[in-house]
Amino acid sequence: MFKLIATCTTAMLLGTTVLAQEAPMTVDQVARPGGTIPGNPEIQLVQVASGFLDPTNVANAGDGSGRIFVTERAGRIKIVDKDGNVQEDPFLDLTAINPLGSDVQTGFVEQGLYSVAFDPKYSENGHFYVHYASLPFNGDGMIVRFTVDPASPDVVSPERTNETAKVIMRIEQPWYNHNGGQIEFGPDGMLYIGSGDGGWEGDPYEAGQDLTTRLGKILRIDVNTEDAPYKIPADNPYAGASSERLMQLFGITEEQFSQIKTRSLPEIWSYGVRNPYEFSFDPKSGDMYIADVGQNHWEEIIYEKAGDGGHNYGWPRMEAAFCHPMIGDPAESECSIVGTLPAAMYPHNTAFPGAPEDTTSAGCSVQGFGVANYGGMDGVYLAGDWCSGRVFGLASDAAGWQFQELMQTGMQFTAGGYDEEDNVLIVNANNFYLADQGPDTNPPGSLWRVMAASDVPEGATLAKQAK
Amino acid sequence: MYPNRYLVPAAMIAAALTFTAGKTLAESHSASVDTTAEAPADVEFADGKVVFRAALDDAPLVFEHRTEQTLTPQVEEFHTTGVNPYSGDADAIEAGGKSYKKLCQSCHLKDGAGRIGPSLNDNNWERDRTHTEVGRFEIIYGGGAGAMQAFGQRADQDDILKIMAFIDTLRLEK
Repeated sequence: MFKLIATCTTAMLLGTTVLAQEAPMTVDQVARPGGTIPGNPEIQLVQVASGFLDPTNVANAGDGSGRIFVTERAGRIKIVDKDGNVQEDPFLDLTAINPLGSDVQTGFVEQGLYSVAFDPKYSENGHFYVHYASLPFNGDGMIVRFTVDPASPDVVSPERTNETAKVIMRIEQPWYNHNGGQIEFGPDGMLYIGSGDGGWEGDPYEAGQDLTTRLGKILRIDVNTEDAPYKIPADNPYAGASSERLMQLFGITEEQFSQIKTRSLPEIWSYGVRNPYEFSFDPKSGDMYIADVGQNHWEEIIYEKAGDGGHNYGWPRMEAAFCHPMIGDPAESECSIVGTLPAAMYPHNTAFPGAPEDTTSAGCSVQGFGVANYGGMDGVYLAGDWCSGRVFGLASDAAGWQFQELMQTGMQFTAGGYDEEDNVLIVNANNFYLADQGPDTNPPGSLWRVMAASDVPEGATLAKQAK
Repeated sequence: MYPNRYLVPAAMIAAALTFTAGKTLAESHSASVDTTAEAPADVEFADGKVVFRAALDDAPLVFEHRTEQTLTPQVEEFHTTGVNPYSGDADAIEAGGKSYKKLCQSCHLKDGAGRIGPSLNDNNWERDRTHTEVGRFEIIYGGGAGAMQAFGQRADQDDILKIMAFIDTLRLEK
């Protein structure tokens, strides 16, 4: 209480009523399209480079080189230099490291090379990490570390790739969808992993609520070790949950009993997510945003204050702010909220079974981009939709979370990331959800940079958008 | 990877065809089925040619895809009249059906009922111009929003006209 009073007092002294960002406590506080984010920014997507085959993600090495690394679904990583030139030879080629063929499973469009993350000390150790669906392991998610040769900073040869491979983790995938994908170092230097619920639909394993599986989780590990694949950060919520101890039956409160989770995996950071294909850290605050892909009716964006692990984000008890499974209009049903609510959500064309179709601000699959702190934006999380090509902004003001559609494009967004100046980058592909004919067969996608409309350079190629 | 559902709601990517923000199906245009000589009432002509417009922003459509393709007499005729010469042509419909199976069916379903993409077997059009053959060509060739890609990247204009002829039959069969 004292802390709250102190915060309010400070805000009054500053002449503002700024509320601290926090997860909504009620369904009404979950932002929906139609809001206006602070500054009502006008943005454009400026093309940086094109010609990528099914681009799935984008990152930078943080080494001052200015290079941008675009992952292609087949298993390649392409380098874009400062001037937007795409290096012909891939930085990494996982299709060429296995004499029997590619090491990457791409049979379904959700499978392939998902993401790359560069070690915070990349300039010193040359380590980088990838997450991909393994062909030899029947689509299991492989998180592997490789080490670049300082004499060949732009190309990791197949020999070098195999020589330096260190498998960090293999996540068993029972089905070909909902594999998660994003891996990224947090501001704390730990590696965070987005792990989906394993697939099919409805979370058949109940993985989201099952603390004994890595599926349906955000995982957090310490890769700064040579003695083991990884270490468990001591401050992970379940770091010591499985340690042996004496049983005490008396003098213990029910709340304390409920915290005994002896089978919980120590890698778990948060749980109850469905398919966190993309998540991002705010470069300024360190806060985390998770674009958790929804099922039939709602897409959601989760906000997590920096360092605040242990949350249950509800899946499969909840779909966005509503109880799952939806059997009708949620406004007419009663159910209790399970876990922590998302900061924002947007509907599919049918917001619940039997709902009239409404394409206003609708979509089908949220693809996270990153947090913009430039161009009139202060902590604006940007995300797009795979189906509708819409771009949304999420930020908070004195009234709470605001969620605003910023534009609708003709693009099928897949993911986003940052360049070395913390500008938000986006990649788009042109593939099929079903009946895709292979990651190298589709028309190429592009790399885009989010810019304030007023900062767009003359002659730039801009993403087309609906009037 | 990206979208993640096994069965998507019927109009999941109807959004992909929704460029008129705020527009609902109830507000969208309906037209009677006429597969033989659909009058391009909303279509402009300039210098004897149809003025094609991009579905997303109504800007003039740029024919930038597959620039090496042969423009058949049927394509030339369509550019002049705005009427699909392949409508009702059995051979063209058969060829269009094969292309539909390869390029369209995964989102719009075999019978055009729609799943990831909107239904094609009724007369509800998310975009007003799509009630004309010119409008349907524009959205197939140049794409709409999001996952409704520019299929001009994957098929020649002649193939697109055949696909359109096949799609006409879906509306008649319903």
